[in-house]
Amino acid sequence: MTAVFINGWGTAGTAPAIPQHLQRELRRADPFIISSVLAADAALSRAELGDGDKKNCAIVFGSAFGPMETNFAVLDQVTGGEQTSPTLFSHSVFNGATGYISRIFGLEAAALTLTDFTFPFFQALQNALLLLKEERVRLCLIMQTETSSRLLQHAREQLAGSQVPEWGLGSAALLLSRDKNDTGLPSVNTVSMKTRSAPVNQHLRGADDATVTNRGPLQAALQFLSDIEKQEETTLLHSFFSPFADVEIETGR
Amino acid sequence: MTEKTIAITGTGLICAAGNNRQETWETLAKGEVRNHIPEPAFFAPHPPSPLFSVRAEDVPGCCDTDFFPGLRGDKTPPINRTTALLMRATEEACRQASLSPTLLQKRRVGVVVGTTVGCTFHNESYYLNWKQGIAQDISPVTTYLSSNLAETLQQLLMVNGPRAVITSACASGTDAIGLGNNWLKNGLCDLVIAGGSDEISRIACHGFSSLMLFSQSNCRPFDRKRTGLNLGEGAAVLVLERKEKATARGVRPQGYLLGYGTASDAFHPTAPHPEGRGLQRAITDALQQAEVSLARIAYINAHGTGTKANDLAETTALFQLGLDSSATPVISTKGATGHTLGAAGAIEAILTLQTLREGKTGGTIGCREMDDALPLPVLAEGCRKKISGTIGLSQSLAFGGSNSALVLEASS
Repeated sequence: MTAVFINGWGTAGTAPAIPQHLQRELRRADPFIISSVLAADAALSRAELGDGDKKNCAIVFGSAFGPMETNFAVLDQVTGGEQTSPTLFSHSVFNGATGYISRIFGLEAAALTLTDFTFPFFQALQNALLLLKEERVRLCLIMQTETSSRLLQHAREQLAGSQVPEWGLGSAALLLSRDKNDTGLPSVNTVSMKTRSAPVNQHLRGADDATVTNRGPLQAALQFLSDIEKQEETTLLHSFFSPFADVEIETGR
Repeated sequence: MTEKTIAITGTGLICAAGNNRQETWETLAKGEVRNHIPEPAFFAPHPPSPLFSVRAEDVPGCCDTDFFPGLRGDKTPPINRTTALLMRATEEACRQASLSPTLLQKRRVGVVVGTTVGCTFHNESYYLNWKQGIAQDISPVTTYLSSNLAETLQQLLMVNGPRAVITSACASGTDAIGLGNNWLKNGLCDLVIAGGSDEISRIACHGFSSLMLFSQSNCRPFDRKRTGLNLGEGAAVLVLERKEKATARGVRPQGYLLGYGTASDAFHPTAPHPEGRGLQRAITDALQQAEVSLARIAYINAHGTGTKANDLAETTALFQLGLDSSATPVISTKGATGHTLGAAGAIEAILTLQTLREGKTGGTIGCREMDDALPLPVLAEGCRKKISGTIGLSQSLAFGGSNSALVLEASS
């Protein structure tokens, strides 16, 4: 597979502050969308894209659990016999964040949202490489956002038989380009993923190593972004494992 | 067309209009509308709207089929309604493609499915009990964790290969087929099971009602008096593989996937761009990939939901692209199926192919008086027309501004 080049990357943490230039756009947004937009903003800002570039920039957005708390807020209204808020409902749709990002930043190429409990960021990355290889888009923003869900947290604790740390809200974003750039960031050469079956409750497991910051389904994406920023090697193979899949990504300089 | 062209070797479909592809086609041909108004409590406090539900006796139970090897033994995943519908469509498509599970297991099989409801947690009774602190078994959570359609289908078929669940709202089914196309062209797998599935959900019903997108009577796509959409449920699956592989297996394709395009309006969270900017780009890209001009398109299956905004944006886009709809009929099938959300793109791709193979269409069910304000005339209900070619276009517009299009060719 032809290498593609990293133009920028960004993350948003558990309590993101909204910068001035995005406050109007995000005035009604929920935490899932806010976090997503901020991470996208960080990645796109690093790349300093022009308007022409943005029209040819695609998004592939992955999430394991989606805007779950927003979904429950709608469920509260439905089960409570209340009028459903149209804003809340539109934000509970899985691709709501993708729509916001596309609109706020003027990204007019493909806008795909996908879900998988297993490494959704790398699944998005793999499909983004195919889009770029087709040469119908010049840039692609790959993203993952996860939120904290009290219902899932409770289920995790029931399965573990004890309290477990919360995963928290967060987003990861990576901007790829077909063109070389001066950012000093590596290229992405190959992505391979091999999946397998495991008991489904394992999707709620955290990291096995208690010294690793436990960000749950976002952990692998954040680790990958951290590693590529520090990469000095000419070629580096990043490996990630879970009960459900093995992933290998080769990045280069 | 070359040996590397992507062939469609099997199709399967279940929706309110029929238990399989042929039954659905016959219902459409008769102009039948099989919907119902649910009990008031389903929609309250919003006003009720007709729904297009799959008949209870047609939703398969786990014991109704011996096709899926993963259903045997003690590791069977919990099956929800969305998954059950998908299983029915998958079995029909694979049988048509002469693909038994044993044959599938010898190949790298990609599974890509579109959905909107199927990925959410919507077990109301569990949620209410949890909120009240009532201790309960967490098996509904386990069911939710088994709800990833592509992962579950891989387990049921016991196959390996790439997988994805696309959640791009109403374009999900179309995007799933497009992604499958990309996987095959790039050698990620030997064949792809691509489609979409969605069940009717109270959350979706209340949500669309809050956005005032529902019609309280039967939906009337492109009609002067249209007032909105009706929701439906269903599933559709296409088996995709390279033409050379299908030939080697001795299977005659039903048709071919010539092109796929997708683009964003970058305009509004729920409303389409008034001129269908993203749709124009998606159609242009799909035609370019197919190496086909718009003039060669013999038939268009529109998204045609019956909302004021969608129908206007869609016909405006086609008008601005220069379509001559007197030569190329444009219809919507949602008057017979309802809007099946994540399944819609896949259902409509199959109906596009079927229309091209049959060489005729009966017009848009529900469109009795075409809206003169639309810039481009569509084919109204009961207007039977012969299709004068074998290449068609199926298009989808989604919440969030995503637009996708497929160029399909029927086998001669």
